[in-house]
Amino acid sequence: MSGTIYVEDAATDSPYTQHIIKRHSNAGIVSIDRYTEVFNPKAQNFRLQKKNPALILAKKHKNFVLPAPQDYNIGGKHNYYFSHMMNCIYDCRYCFLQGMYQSANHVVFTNYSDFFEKITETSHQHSGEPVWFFSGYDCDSLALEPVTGFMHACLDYFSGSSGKLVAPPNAYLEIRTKSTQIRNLLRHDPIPNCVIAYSLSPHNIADQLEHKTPSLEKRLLALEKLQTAGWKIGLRFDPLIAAENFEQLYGELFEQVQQRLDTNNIHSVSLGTFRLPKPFYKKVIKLYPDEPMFAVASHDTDGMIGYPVEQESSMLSFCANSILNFISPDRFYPCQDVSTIIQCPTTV
Amino acid sequence: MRLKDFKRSVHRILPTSNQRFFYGQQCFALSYRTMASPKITSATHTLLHTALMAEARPLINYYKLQSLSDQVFRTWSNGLITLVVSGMGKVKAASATAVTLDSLPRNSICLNIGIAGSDQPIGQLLRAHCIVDAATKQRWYPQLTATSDIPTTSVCTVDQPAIEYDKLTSFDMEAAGFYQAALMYGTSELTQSIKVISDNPSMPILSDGSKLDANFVSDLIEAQLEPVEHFINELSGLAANLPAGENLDSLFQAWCTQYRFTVTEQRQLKRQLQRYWSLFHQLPDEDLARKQGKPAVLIKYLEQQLTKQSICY
Repeated sequence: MSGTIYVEDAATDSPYTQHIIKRHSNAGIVSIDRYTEVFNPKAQNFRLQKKNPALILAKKHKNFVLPAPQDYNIGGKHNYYFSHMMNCIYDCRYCFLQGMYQSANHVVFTNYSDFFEKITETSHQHSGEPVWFFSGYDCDSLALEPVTGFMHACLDYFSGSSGKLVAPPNAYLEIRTKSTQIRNLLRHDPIPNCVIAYSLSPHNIADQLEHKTPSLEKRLLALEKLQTAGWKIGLRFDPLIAAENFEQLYGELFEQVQQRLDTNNIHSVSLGTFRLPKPFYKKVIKLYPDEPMFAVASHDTDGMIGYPVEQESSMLSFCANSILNFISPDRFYPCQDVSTIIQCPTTV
Repeated sequence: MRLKDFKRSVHRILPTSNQRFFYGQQCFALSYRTMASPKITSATHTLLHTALMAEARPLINYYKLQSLSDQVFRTWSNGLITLVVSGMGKVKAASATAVTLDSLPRNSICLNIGIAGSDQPIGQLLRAHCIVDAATKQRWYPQLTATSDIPTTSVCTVDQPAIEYDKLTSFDMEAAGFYQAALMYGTSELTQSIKVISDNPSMPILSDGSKLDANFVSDLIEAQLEPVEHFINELSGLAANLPAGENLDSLFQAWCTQYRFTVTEQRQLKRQLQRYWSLFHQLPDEDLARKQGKPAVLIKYLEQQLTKQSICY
């Protein structure tokens, strides 16, 4: 963690702010009016900041809960995402955050209860119907948990054990992560309305592109523990990365999943190929002009940069058909249209 | 010898990584000398900015900088480090910084070094975590990405010497001008300001500045040369993470000189050379352009070569 913590004046009084500051007693504290003064200016270099990101503690004032992008769902009709944090301690080369933000500093919004109030309010707007709230869109949900304690508070809210604010019964939570910081989850009783979803990539791809993340082996181990403890788990194969040995890599990955996990007891599986909005892609290739994966993925389809359509279809087809060999179709939620490329599964 | 030929001859005897560090014509001869300096740990160019000659002198001696003639502002260089003395005030600081950086590679390290007043001990070295222009209230936050033991401070740039002192704020007359101009050429992580406390409540500056003895100022800076150098090396280490682009530049420039590419084609060509380099770890044969004939055909050919390629993980 960086030696510098920027603290917004409005966030100073939050007990979480105080807790985080106390935890970093050696860090230099810099008071700021608004986090945007440090986070948003141009003439910052995301790649350099990734080497030693600072922590910014701030108060969020609006947009606590936002509608999820189309196709970002696991079967629910009403889908929202929320981010208690901006940026991630990991450094995945394909990550869209490096194209979206000017800064790689970590922003943590410490007014946690305001998020929960908005989740309650949004759930009431759709009363009687399930409403999904996705955590881990602009950050990894669990990676900085020992510092922030956000998920601990969130689990208390969803399980009703906080005593103050309780999530409505129609509110569902997905915690998306690559982190193995699951101690708090294992201490907690499983919550029926909560899914812990892991992003998985073949070992060699994770090793070369998902810098600073836990290995595939460690992620599978965390999934095993969570599943054994009774938590609902999800698998996210997104982004799929093109490779000369694509079928071998992903074939092995699906084999490992089947060997390690109870596939009848997986809540949901989703997948999607690597894709970035063109403006993000332009920024990312300036940061990493020598990265081979960007040299291959450069096809423009309606403003989205990714692989050529035929290659995308072939990747999706292989993976969708492999997954449908061990997951029933009602638990399979691809982020891209695969209806025309799925063959009849051999076993379900 | 014509300038063009002279440049070519120098390029031949210097390593490729050193080619871009020339500052005007006069640096050609100096670059070679720099390579032997034990104090420079990185190939990234560094601009040092001071307001006063007294602040600059210890740095000029330490880094063995040589004066460059025919400059708008007094400038010294050893090929890798360039120092400019602007004179007092933020307007001069901004002008000198911009004029000098215009001749240096983008994303150079830029460091403002100078004296300041604060309620801190005389001689204390401080690094700016915030720079405020007192007149406009505009604020900047230099990113503290490079690690350093130097304590940080807020630096307030005033138009007249300040006679009030604060523990948390240091007062100077240049940082805001320097920083604003430097950011037009570089990045916040490598653009920094460090201050040495020259006056405090027990040893205040007079409003006419008459207490500023040149030798005293030079001594203050000289006493901090070691941590300053350490800090520059930290910045250089950080800058080493920037992508290198010069490996493509020679071929790109050669083809652009030999053949007529439109602006769009130039952009396409540059990206394709980047892609080619990242996939094949070498550049296409220089003769390829001649073989393909027209720029559009060359670009299409490269695209076809690249599309066929895949990565084995």
